[in-house]
Amino acid sequence: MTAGQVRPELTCDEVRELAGLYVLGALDYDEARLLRAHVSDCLDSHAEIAALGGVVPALASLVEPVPGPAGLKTRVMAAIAAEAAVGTAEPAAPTTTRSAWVAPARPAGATRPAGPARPSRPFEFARPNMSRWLSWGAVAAALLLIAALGASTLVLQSRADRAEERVAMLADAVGVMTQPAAAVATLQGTGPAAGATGFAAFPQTGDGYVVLVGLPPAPSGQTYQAWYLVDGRASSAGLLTVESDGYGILSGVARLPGVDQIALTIERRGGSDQPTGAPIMSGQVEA
Amino acid sequence: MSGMSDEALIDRVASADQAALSELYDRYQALMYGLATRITRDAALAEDVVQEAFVGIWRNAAVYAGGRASVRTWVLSITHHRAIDAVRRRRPTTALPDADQPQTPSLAVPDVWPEVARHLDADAIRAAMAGLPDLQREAIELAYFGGLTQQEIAARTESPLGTVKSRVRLGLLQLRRLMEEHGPIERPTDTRELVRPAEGDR
Repeated sequence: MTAGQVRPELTCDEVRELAGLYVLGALDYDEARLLRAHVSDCLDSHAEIAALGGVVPALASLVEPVPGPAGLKTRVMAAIAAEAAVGTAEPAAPTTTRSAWVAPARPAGATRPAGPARPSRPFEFARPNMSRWLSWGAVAAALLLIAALGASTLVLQSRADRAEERVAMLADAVGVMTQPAAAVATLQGTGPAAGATGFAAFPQTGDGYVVLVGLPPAPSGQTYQAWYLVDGRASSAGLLTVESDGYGILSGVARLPGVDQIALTIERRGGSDQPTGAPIMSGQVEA
Repeated sequence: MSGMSDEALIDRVASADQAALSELYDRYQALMYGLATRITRDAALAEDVVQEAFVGIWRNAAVYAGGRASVRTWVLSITHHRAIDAVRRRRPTTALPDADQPQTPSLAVPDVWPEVARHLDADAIRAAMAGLPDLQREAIELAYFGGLTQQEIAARTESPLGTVKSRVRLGLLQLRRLMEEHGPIERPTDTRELVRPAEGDR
């Protein structure tokens, strides 16, 4: 059916004809909706639908059981924990560890180079002052993050399509994060991003995600840019748009061999070749 | 928790008990993954389907209508719906709900019917299926296991749409009769109690 086309209501005879297809799930969305609308209003009880539907569960008995792969239960339980967290958890609080990076040292009295044409140079940073994240620690942090995202998504009900897309991307990002071979970083904000949190997750093959929440809108004329850090050198992972509720997601992020940190800076609109400011969020990548 | 009935587990899931869902996973994952794999023919997609199905179970455990269908039937119905959604999303030709629908079909709870063959074993069901005329069995299988819509079944079998409708309807009626020969059958109740407009229907 094309958009805008008005479809007539179904007659009782049409419902009887379609009953078998309906109970097997072989009607498209609009056809099934019309059938349900008819049945809910019709004087006829349309017992034929229940009579045919009662046969359908037997069909599933014809399928041989196949045990799911070993990692599937972990993934399912992580998704359920995320669902549970949406209803009960508070938004994630920033950890009290010190920031995972330090700004490049600059001689006293040195002025900041003007303009974008600064030379490429190693991006200095310190190792986080904490023990390596356990993988479940990373998952737990991410689940708290999702709780915050879930709450903000509910606020967005007037933009259901966008909210739905966001939830779908998030579900995929969590799926990536819980894969056994995934590389995961949890990110914490500092300075202008204090209180912001997030994670980056990269599957063994294919594209990954950077998911952040709690960020203020980028200053006028500027943008957020994510970076890979490999041995202190930065390369761009992409520009990130933060929405009015502080939520930003970057998808299609490739896994870079040897990457040991993910960081976020504020750059001029359009992004930079190299970071021009100090990182406001960062996290160590744990493979 | 391993000694608990399925119904008791669903009650616990309805009160947000993750350990109960874990037990339910152990009981039904192989059946669910087997069904999802059969329909999607794609191991990775089948994993997504099983995950979505458990999220559906988690969200809807409170509306599970015990007595009308077994927990097994209920979780497999949800799995079937998610798998059909998954294969249709993969086929760009299938009509999907409008973008402005507030709820995707994958989040809807499937209808639950008074189960006919609750007490039949797989061999009896297989025998009943084998008793169907080939064209009726093919149409039912393309719909249930292939996730095809009536239009797609018509194209695949090079048959008019009206013929597809009759084959499916007559096939299911015949299947019911053949199953009745194997034991007592539960009578259908008022369909209007079972088929309700889904959220998002306009």
